[in-house]
Amino acid sequence: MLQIKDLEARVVDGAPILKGISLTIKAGEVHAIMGPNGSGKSTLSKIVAGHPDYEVTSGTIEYEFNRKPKDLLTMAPEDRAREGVFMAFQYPVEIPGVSNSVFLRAAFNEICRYQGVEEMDPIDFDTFLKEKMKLLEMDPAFVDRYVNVDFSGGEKKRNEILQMAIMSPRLSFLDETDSGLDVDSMRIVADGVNKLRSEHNAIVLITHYQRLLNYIKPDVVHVICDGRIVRSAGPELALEVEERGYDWLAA
Amino acid sequence: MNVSSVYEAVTARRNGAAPDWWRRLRAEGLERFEYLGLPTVRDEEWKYTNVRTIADTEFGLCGSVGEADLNVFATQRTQGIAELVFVDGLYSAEASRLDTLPEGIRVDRFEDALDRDPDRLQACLTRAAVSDADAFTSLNIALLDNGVLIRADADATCTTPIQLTFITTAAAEHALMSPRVLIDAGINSRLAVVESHVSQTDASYMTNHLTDILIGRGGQVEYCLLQSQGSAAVHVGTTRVWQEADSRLEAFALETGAALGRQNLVIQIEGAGAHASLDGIYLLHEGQHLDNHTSVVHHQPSCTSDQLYKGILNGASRAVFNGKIFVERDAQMTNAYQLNRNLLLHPKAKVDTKPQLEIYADDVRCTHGATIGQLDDEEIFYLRSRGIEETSAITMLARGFAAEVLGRVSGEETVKMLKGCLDGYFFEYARRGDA
Ligand SMILES: Nc1ncnc2c1ncn2[C@@H]1O[C@H](COP(=O)(O)OP(=O)(O)O)[C@@H](O)[C@H]1O
Ligand SMILES: [Mg+2]
Repeated sequence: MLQIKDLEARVVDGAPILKGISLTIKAGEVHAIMGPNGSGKSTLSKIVAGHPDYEVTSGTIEYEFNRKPKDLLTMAPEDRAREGVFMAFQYPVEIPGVSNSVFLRAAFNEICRYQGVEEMDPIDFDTFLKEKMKLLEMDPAFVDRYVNVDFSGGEKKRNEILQMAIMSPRLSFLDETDSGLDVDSMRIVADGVNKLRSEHNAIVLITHYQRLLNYIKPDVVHVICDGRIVRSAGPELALEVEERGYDWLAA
Repeated sequence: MNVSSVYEAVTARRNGAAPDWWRRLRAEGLERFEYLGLPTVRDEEWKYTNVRTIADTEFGLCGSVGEADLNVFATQRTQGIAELVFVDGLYSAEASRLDTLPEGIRVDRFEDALDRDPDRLQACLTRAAVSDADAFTSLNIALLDNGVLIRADADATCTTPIQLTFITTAAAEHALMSPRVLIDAGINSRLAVVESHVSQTDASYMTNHLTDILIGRGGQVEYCLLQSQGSAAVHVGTTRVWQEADSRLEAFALETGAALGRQNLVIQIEGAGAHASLDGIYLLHEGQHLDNHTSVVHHQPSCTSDQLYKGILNGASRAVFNGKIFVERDAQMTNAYQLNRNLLLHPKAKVDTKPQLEIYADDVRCTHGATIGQLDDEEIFYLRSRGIEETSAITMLARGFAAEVLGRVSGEETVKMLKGCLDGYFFEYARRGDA
């Protein structure tokens, strides 16, 4: 589904951040990415999503769906999203003046239009939205509030997964979605993610904690240090990292 | 511009059918205008707005009246309880509609008011001394001709808006329209009025309107002004308000049209316990210049004024905002708030904003501020990452920026109309792209 080859990237005109990342993700898989703060995990997911701050200096990202390979790096962020690439932000953005329902319906309808499916009218969408919110145990009042404005940290993260549920992406990067969540919220979010899992889509979990991986079992765990993947192994790697930290891997 | 020939043309159109005081008032207006002349950029009040093009254009009265298609303006009018329509400066009986008004509410054209209640009309028209008028106000007075007097008797209520629509058509090429509106809200009355200046032509013409609002003790007025003139039009307008004790004004302006626009709003709070809110949105595209000057004068204690104006500018366009709050010596316990915020959607858009406070009382709370900014790139990316195309993302964010001001309008009909006008602006934005 996703093939990243020798990816090197930096902030436009800045120092290198990613220094040769290669990663292959297949449909149905769950990958976990761990690594110290500042190692480039968010940068990697933002580049996959198409954030304009970053410049890819070498390497390729190929995204394949239905046997149609696409060069992700040449696509506008909105087209990546419409093709099924999703990123849950580590720091979800607050958008004053735009209500959650307007935003979510716009996103949903953009994808419908792109895929040639009929758009949903506001009433049907409302029902659909409420159903998805129930899945994440979100208060229905959140639909009328401005996007992420005055949401608590945990509410923002739930709102990210709500967006994932509504857009039903094929490939999702969840960037520290578990950070700042209490145990109950994390279980709800993890349950939500598990319900969205299928053999047709893939999920990349960026996390610092083994805890999340107890709920969402990864197939592969990668550790990134200083812009490179320094180790890839099975779920046991996460346990080892939890115990020993990253220093032994960085060396 | 040869003002005396327009003046003569207005006189000729009336064919002498006007009372003496009316003629004297016009003559005073003309004298005052000729004394002042058109302002120049050396005038502090006109520092950023150059009206040379007015001086250089031969404006006259509209020779013939065009055919107005009201359907075109469906989104720019409210489905009010009554609608008076003026086309190219003249009243159109066919287009107008006067449903049964609530008890104590009267809507009269000046012709009718001259018949029925000339004293009241005279009192309203001469409420402010001509010797205090600025150039464009005196010009309007000099060319006094058509207008509307809206009255609410004590305790009368009409919260469904009375719609005044001023339309210009292609026939208005080089015409100068000088509409006059008087709103006289009696003690404890309630009135809602929407004044729309709309156009179905790209012809070059000028509107110079003057609206006076008198609010008696305990009265409440919702006043909405829509300026959606043609792309080559010059629009100058002044709304003056006098408020008595415990009265309430909710003024709202939405300005999207004209090549050159200047809107003045002057509020005199003359009784204790009164409140004025004055809010506005101005939306500009390439080539437009829109200037808003507001002034709130607190003469009496325990009054509040609350002001929020927001501008969205696209293309090489320019907006000017100048907001003054005066708190006179007796106006203790005044609470005055003013904020002007501007959103630039284009690198060549420019704003000059200047909030001003002059306070002569000591026990007051006044705050003011102004901002000029651009959309946040992170917000745009967030929306794009959810499949929303860039232009739609920008539109959504810019609408969000405007939403706060719209949220302050209480009239349902008015809100619907204002939303329609915002739609129009963003539709045009999407059509043009970011140029
Ligand atoms: N937009 C940016 N501007 C400047 N520096 C950045 C930017 N994004 C990331 N960096 C830098 O790149 C490095 C990696 O950051 P990031 O990808 O956020 O790390 P992680 O998510 O692994 O904590 C850090 O040193 C960070 O300061
Ligand atoms: Mg990060």
